[in-house]
Amino acid sequence: MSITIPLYSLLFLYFIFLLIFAFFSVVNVYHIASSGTLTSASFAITFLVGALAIFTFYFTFALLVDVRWTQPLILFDTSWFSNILPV
Amino acid sequence: MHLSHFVRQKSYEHVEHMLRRHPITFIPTVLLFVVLMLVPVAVYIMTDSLFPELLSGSVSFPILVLFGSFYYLSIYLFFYAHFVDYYLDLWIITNDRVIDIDQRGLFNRVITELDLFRIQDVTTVVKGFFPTVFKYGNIILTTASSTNSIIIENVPHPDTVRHELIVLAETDRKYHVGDMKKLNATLDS
Repeated sequence: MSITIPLYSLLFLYFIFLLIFAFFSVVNVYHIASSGTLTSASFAITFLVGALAIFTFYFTFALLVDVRWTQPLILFDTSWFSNILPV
Repeated sequence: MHLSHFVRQKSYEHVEHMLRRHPITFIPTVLLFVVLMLVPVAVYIMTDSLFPELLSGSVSFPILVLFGSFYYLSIYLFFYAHFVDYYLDLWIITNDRVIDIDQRGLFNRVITELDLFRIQDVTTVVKGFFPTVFKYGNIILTTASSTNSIIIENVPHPDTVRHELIVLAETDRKYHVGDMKKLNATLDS
């Protein structure tokens, strides 16, 4: 017996995380903009973080573009224990 | 930046100093960020030599890539939130008062005001190797009331700021002679 889920389930979790990431990023930018502290230093850090995030998105996409997302991901399989527990 | 972003500016009030913590106090966060950025590289090298099949597996590879992406985005967020916390901690000294803006995390900000004429003691503390070498430290402002005090933390050239605060407080005290009499009467009673 085995328990499997499709691999694309992980993509849903990843997209939920992306929403959280976007929310907190907007809150950070809002703090900087609303407090009037948009200086060259805060702009440089915002640009750095934004550029790194875009770089990460690009590489994530480039590495995962050929993945077959419908293949099953095995969460549990009794055969894992067949060598330990005698049937 | 303008004072009106935080408090209502009085008509006769102008900003004398706007202080932030010394940039060197943010360096530990930068170093931690760099170390955290390098961790996946080390993990990749170890995995490549110990479990190379994980990096080529049709299921394990996308899981590792998604986890790596999650990890990197998390540390960007951590770094950015720490920067905002550092950058929005601010002390504004005007010719009338000292305003302490304390950003605690993303959803908590505390703003404290202290009238210059109420200041009784100004103390500077430069303690440790780095504060001594890079000339930064704390300025402690105390009033007659034990509850009202502001600590200006890790600002550059604290002795210069202390001297200017004493001059400003003295000037403001002359301006608020009437208020001072009322304050002393309240404290006496």
